[in-house]
Amino acid sequence: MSGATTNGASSSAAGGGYFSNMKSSELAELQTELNSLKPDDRREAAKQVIAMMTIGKDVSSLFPHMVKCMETTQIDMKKLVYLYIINYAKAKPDLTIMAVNSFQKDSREKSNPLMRALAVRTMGCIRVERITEYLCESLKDCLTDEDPYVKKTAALAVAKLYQTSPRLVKDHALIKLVQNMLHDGNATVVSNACASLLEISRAAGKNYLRIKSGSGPSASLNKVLVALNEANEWGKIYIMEGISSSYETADMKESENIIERVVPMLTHNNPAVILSAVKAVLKFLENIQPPTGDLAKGVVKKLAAPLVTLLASEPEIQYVALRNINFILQRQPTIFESNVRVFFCKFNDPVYVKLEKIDILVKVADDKNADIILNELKEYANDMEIELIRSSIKAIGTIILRVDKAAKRAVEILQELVNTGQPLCLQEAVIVARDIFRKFPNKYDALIKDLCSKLLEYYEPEAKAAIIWIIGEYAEKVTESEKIIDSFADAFLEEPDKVKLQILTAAVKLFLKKPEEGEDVIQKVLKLATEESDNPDLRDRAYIYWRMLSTSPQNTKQVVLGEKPHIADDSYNQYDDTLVSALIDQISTLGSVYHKTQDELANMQKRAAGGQPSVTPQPKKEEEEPVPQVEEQKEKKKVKKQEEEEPEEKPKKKKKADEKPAKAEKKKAEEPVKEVKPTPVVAPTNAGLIDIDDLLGMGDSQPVSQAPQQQQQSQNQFMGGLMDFGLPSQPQQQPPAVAFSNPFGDEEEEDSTAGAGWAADFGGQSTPAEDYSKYFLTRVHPLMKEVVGNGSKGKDGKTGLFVKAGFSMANAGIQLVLEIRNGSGQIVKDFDIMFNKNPFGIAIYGAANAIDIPDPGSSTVQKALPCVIDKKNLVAGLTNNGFTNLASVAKQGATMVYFGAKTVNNLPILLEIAAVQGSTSVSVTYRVPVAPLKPLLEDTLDYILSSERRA
Amino acid sequence: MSGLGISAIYFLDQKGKIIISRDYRGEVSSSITEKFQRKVLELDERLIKPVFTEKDITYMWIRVNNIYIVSVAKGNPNVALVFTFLYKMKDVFCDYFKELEDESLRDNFVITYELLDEMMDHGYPQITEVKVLKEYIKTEANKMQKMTSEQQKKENQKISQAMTNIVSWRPEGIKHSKNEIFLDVIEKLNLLVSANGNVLRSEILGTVRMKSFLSGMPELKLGLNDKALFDMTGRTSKGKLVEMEDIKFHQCVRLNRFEAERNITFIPPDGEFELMTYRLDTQVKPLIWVECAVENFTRSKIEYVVKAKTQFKSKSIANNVEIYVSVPTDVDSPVFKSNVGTVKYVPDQNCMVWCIKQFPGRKEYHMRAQFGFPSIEAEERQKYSRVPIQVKFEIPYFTVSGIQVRYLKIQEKSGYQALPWVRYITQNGDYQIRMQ
Repeated sequence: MSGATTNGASSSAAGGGYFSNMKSSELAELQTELNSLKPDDRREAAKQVIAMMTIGKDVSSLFPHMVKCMETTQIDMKKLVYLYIINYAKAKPDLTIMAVNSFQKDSREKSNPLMRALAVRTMGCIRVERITEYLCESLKDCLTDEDPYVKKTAALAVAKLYQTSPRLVKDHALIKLVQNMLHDGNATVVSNACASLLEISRAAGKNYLRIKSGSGPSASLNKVLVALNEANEWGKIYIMEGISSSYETADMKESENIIERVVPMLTHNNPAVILSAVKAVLKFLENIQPPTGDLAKGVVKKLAAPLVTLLASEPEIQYVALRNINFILQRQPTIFESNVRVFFCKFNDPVYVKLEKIDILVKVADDKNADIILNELKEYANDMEIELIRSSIKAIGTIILRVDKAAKRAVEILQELVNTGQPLCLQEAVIVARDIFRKFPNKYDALIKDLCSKLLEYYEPEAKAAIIWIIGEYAEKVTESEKIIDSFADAFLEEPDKVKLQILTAAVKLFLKKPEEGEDVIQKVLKLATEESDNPDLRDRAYIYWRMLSTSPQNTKQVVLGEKPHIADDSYNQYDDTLVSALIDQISTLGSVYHKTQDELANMQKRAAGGQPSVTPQPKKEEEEPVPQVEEQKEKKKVKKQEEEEPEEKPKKKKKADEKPAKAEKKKAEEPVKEVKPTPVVAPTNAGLIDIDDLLGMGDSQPVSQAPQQQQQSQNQFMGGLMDFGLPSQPQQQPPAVAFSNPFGDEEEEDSTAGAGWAADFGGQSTPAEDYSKYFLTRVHPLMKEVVGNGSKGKDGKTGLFVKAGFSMANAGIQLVLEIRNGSGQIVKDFDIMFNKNPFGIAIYGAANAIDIPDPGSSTVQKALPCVIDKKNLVAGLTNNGFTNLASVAKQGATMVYFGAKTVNNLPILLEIAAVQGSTSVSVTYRVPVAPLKPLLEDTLDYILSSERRA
Repeated sequence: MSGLGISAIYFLDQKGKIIISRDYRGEVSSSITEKFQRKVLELDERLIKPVFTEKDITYMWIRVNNIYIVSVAKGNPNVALVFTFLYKMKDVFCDYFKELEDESLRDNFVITYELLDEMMDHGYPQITEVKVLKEYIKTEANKMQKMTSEQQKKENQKISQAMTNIVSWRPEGIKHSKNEIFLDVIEKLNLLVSANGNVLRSEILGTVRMKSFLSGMPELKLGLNDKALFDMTGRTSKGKLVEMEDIKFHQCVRLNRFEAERNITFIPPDGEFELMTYRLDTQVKPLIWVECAVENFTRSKIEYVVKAKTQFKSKSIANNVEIYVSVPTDVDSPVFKSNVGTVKYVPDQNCMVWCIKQFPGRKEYHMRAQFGFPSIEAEERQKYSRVPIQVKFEIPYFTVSGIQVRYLKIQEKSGYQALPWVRYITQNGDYQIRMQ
């Protein structure tokens, strides 16, 4: 007995030895010791083996010797060997078979229930089907053992077996035996049977946990409810989970009965028991009528205190509790009415708990308590934690929108924060302020003043955007607003796009409100936005404003300064009722933490596990992947915001779209030349999407010069932004030999009238109509890009020739503008310009034209070369109609061309046009983000594709 | 799809290396701890939530001393159950090894494995009652008595029964020569006071702890001055009655009887345990009120005037009062002036502590402190004022709520007489006073 007298201290010294470095020669030594005649030596050796296994060394070679050691009556020795076998069973199934006999013997060990249980527990952990096969009979015996400890272990072993082999479970009719256990007199057995059946039901997608009511021999409800009372804390959870997930009450009386039995569990000190009880109560409460009756009210009242007490437990558990309370509140809004203070943050709460508390404070805020909540939020806004500051100020903003009565106090607090708070406070406060002015226009003028006094302190883009919006909106009130906007305009090019857009809008508003003072600013901003910016959205918007202003300033006023849609933020984090019900089924589970239903969670995980390995889900799941409903709302909000700028946009577009099909119809009737069948199909499959995504990255044809590409693209997107589908397109198949000479035809005129003048089209851009008012700026020059410069060397390594190039639209089509300057000091000869193939199929015609190289020192020579698009006419045609060609692929005899476009409000549209060789029809598959776009797009495509026939 | 439970538990050291682990369901590979390591150790731990999902695997973790206890699960685990289990498991290990840390786990890996197997099966918590576990899983020190096979057999049956017994927390056949039971009523006061003295939140968390040395299977009944009980039975009381908001019981208490009759009846575990906890949401005056004024805050120095006042009866005394006042991060050369207690500057916590051994009721003490600043100003010097003043104290023979044990009846079939002893104490919980 080497270690017989050791106590804690010396065993620790010995234990240290287990983990000391071991050499391979020791394996041989261990082997000898495992075969020793003295049981204590064997045990010490087994411990050594387990120690090595623990630190990850491979000791599988000792398998046969360890199995031999199973022949012992000493249970602690057995445990060591079993641990070893579980670890290596999967890797060494052949050797594990040697242990089968021993397992069978142990599971029938009459005198020792602990041994039987240990054997059955370990057997289940061997996850090799052909071995477990031998063990089913033993398992069956254990399921009907007289000892409850063996039985409760066997119950779970069935779930283990089901995981390894559902077939074996069925073959031996084990489920029935577990179901019988629900009638067992021992609560531990009943609860483990519940857990086991629950798991098997989930895995099989079929309910095996059939709890029956009534008083017959098969009735188990009452037995289970009795066991609920007697079971230990964990057992209580399994039973409650079992009842709430698989039992449907027959009538109200039964629901009442269950609630009555579950309510005492709310006083348990185990947080998980409490949450399971809350789940069961809320679930069966749904059957209690009337839902606002005394009974229901009384029960709901009992839920509040236990939930609050959870907030005194460990932070991790608090977090789970808070996530659950978050949606429980929506079902039972009055539950915490009297004690919202429990959601106040403690100084030492972890950040994740604090943020959840703030979220809940917003939800519980109402007329009565808003003031104390606001004061508390103000306190957090002065905290040190960045996340806390942000979300507390956002919370103040949301309360303003939600609780009308609190608005006054909240604005005061906001004002205080603006004046005294830290810089970060200010950034958030101004964003919140913008929403306040949206909701209460012209109400809190003092706040504007305070905000405007801090102009230089806004550094975050969102904050800058917000302050500029405010200044634009109240241009007439803010003193010297024109100077402020002008100073922002001076830094226009350095600002992020978000800010640029706001400067643009603010400049327009300023001009509309104070035409005299604002004229210079608007001129400047429009020029910068259209000429210097490479952001298509910005340019689009600038062009729109420009057109609007030049067409009718009066109408523009109505549009830009018109009444804005109301922003009542009742939708804040509100889930619809079915989702809340689904979440109540999820209380205390992972789903409840992420606010996802069982199915959503399963899908999410499936996608994450099976999908592209490069995409790893982010830690803040619940924020980044909000529940669809919320996302939709956000989307809507976004759309709303966009609409605010151009509320008239939509109806007009519709009108146009309505007109076009009619036109198209007419033309179809006139010239039924080719059979073109656009068959729009929504392509919702993931695979399809990924395909397109992949294709986006495909650069099969690299443009040589950057300049033409940029120019072309931006024009395309400009068109795309306006969604002017009215222009005709080229056929995508069997391209006619005709060059892209006059792509607009007579359509042009019709369209510009139909589009009320500002539905910009190419023609209009280069040939301004006479009635353009004075606000119309000078023509846009093509963006010139240097293609030959100081860095480019000639044949002999000489430099000095400068060439700038850019594409522009001429009356008849595209032209390439070249600016050539000779800075070399010599006369240049042998000047060739080679145009590489490019994805836009642009080629120069008449390229034989002689280009004169200017003499040294003389000024720049400009040259415009007409271009044609001679490649895929389809590509060219569609790109001129607002689509961007993303890629083309040919596979299996079919040619697939992908297009993308954006609507004015930035909704993406994807098109796949597939043409099978030899067939005259093409199939069109598209994807739109919102359903209302569908008919519009279909009509448009119909029109584009049929009108090209006419050409 | 997995069940309610977890797939595996890992104990990781500070560097994220596995100390010991137990795979319960064989559905995850052990290399997944590397992911955890990457995430938690390399990112800011403060910002990582205690539960997160990577691919299809969910990690739920807690930190104890110098180790991480990480449980992983597939599917839709019961997160509340997992965290509760992790904490209960922690308690069990602490009870076994005194301290749960890297070393103690390595030293006791065989017992650790045994406990992990007994506490959880197939990812489902089974039993976390340390008293019962100790019957079965013994440390080296106390398992060495030799037993005859007959004794052994009896012992085995006893264990199996204890594990599945309705009274899972108490084995049969306990004997004590002197039957005694000690009751401690401990109330912790959680308090949050705004700078202007408004009590924002006050809450009393009460605990009734017991140390039971009773033989056999005693049946106990505890009587408190519980308002709900008196209301229910229609009786009136001369003394004060206490309205407890939320009561939580040790699993030995018969919850259904409490629900029905409001009687606290139970068979206690042997030794020390927590019988019940309760919570009161009443407005409590700060027992110790601290005011702190900062004077002469200049570039070179800062001065504090701290005033502490007790607001309880003069016959009670608060022991070991410690008042923590935060100071800027870069102060030096502290000078303290106070006629009572001692004051220390604790640089690593950026605060000063004023310790007063005994602070009688209805008294007021003052303290002045002065610190210098180095010439180079530390960033965010102002931020000290965001850290609230914290107070620690203990007031014996006193409960804030006024709760009282009216009786503790002990009945055992052998009919012995047992003595109950009761103590009351009030302590600080989260006791915070915001600074100006």
